[in-house]
Amino acid sequence: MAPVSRRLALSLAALPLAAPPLLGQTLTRMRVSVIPVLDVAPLHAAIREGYFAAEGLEIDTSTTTGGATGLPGLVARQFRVTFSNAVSIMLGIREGLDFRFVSGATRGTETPPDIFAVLVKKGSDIRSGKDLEGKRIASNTRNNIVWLRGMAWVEKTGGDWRRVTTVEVPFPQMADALAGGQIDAAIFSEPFVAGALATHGDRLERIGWPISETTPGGTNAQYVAMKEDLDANAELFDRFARALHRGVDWVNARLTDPALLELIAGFSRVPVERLRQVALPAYPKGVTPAELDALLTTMTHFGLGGRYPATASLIHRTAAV
Amino acid sequence: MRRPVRFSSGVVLVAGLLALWEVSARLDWMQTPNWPPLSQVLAALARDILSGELPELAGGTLLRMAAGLAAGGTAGVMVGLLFATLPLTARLFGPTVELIRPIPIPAVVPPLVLFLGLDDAMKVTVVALTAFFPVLTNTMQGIAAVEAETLAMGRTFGIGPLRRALRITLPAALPYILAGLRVSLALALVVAVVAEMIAGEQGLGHYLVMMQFAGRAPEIYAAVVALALLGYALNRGFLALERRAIHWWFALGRQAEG
Amino acid sequence: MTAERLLRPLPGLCVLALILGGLEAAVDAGLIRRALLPPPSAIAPVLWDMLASGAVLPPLLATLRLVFAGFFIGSAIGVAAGLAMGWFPPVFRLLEPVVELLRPIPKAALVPALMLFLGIGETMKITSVALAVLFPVLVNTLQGVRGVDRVMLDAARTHGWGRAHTLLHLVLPAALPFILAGMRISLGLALVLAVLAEMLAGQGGLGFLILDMQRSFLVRQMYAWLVILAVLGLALNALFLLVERRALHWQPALRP
Repeated sequence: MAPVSRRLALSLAALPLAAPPLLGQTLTRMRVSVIPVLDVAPLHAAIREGYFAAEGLEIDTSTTTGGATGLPGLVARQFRVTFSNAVSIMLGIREGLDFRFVSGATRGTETPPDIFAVLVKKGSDIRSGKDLEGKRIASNTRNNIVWLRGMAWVEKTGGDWRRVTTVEVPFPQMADALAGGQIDAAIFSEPFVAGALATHGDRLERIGWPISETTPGGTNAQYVAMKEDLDANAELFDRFARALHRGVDWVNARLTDPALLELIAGFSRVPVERLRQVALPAYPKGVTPAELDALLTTMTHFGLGGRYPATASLIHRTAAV
Repeated sequence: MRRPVRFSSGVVLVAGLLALWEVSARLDWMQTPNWPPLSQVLAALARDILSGELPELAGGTLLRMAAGLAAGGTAGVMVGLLFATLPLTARLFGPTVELIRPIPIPAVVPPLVLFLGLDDAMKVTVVALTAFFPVLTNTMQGIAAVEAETLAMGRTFGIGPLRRALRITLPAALPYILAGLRVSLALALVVAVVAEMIAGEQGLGHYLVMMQFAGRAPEIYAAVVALALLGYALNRGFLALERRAIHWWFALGRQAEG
Repeated sequence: MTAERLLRPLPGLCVLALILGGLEAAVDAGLIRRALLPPPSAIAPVLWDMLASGAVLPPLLATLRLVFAGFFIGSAIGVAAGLAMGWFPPVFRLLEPVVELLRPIPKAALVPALMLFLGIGETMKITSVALAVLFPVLVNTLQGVRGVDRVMLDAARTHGWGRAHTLLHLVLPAALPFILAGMRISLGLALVLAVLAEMLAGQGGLGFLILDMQRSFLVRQMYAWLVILAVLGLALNALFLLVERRALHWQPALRP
């Protein structure tokens, strides 16, 4: 099927608005910062299925790449909610920003396929983190969850992560850089894993699953809001989380259903054919202190330590499910 | 400059390069799907133009660009006029202006986002900031060039400073100001797109980033081609406008230097 | 005389100090959130530490190297192509359409394509800087060559100067103010592109650090690097003005 155009997606999103009983009542607009990746499928499902509208909310998504502006934008009150990876969120908290978890977004799965993968050039003799010592590995950003899981994989497979050079390469350019020999390995996340293997499959191969090999089911990304806003508008965020979590149910009920891929293709513009090869994450509703504690232990180990508040205090009631 | 593109060696060269693009991609010399053939790029371009998506996005980009250009250009002329006519103001604010000027736009976007958000206000400001400096520099240069000869005359005739500025200095500096604006115009399009790439769901910049993330190479280059065409058209349009605006300047029989 | 020279920038610096004081007060009064914009008094110690420890040097040198390499390559090609196009009509006819098509493309949008052809290393970064520099220099050179006084050209011809000789000894000097003006604009652009390239595929340099600090929420460090970047830009511009003044010393009337 041809990818659904944005306008079509928008008009589809608007259709169910006519159905709910709240018709005529003005919707509360909430601006949410997202990244155009698989992780935000439940949010888009909830928008399209009218779950937010049923709660009297209108969600205005703002797409940024890599979350560079998502969290600062949250601090600046440009967004009510921001989707971001757990490492970036915790680093902000370390620097005194009052982020609170409103909802879980994605975790790694217990078993492969992972949403992350370490790829190398076919025929290279790199098979483990040990082989990568003194070599160059690409990550889209340093100090985010992709990088952290990648470094954990390097260590797990016998390498010293301090002796591996991290090079920042944007996801879209990774496959070419790898195939061209400018980097020795790269930590990909989906859908770029599938993309790289589909287009460069004859020259690239996967040697590692950074999440399931190091922390099966490990945390990945969440939705956060500012504490101040949550305190003042707790009821609004209850509605937000209720609708979002209905979206999570919708997605989880369709993990093998083409309808999910069509939804993702609609907002991410990734062709459906490619999405068929993509590994999906687990879509949790909540965030647990245990997963955050485990994350902090890993972060501290890889040089991102510091003074963090008790993790339980960071989880808003909507994420304590 | 010759206006109509005749069938010259240059056109042949362009055609040759475009053919090289098509062939290199068809034969996969780059060994990557991220180098799509020109024909696919043009097909994607045509499809997204006909669907109305690209015209809408480009319209938004152009609108923000024009607003920023107008604001930045006006401010540039006014500040330039102020600095040139009242040297004290130049000494007071000059260092601050000079300190802001060299900060690269990508570096000012993050702090600006904090204060102006992600939408039109931020993007227009970024464009205005970019457009401001070339116009400022050229205005001051233009005024410096006319000052001596013309102003003395105005003073002799007892024309007041404000009227002198508006009636003599400004028109005489016009070719310079327009040259500065033309530099700003090219920069403004770039910066509008860069700002759109960084944040918000607007314009051609956002389209470019989305398509990069979706791994759709033909669409990426379609956006680049669209930008090239837009930039070309804008420059041509501005040149035509400029020629009219300073027509009287030539009519005066003077040599424009800007 | 020297005292006056020293006093000249004083009012400007006072205004700058006032602005910084105003920022400080605004943050203290809670008008601006500390997490977004730390007060100058919080940024200054970080800046001082960077300067004192010498930590500022490696990234600064990395960025400078990139700026200068791209600037010189781009300027050289721009001047050469501009002179050739302005002086030899067949060259103009050959290159004009290509130049006009490539010129308006935002160089930032080309970075992905450049990464494809040139990889993610220094070559790609230097090329993107050089590309940004090339076109303003080229266009200005062209304009300069065309602005050469007809009378002078006729005079050169009557004196039996060859075309090459005229180009080197009449056209080039006459076009120099334009070329230098173009180069000065380009120097600013070079810094912009250097920073952007470092942001997009970085391992070092000021652009990379600013983005890295921002992502890690080390806001004070981010602003400290931003200040260093601004001062670097200022210094480059001042340096260029100095060079320009020297190069044009014989041509006071044309000096901007």
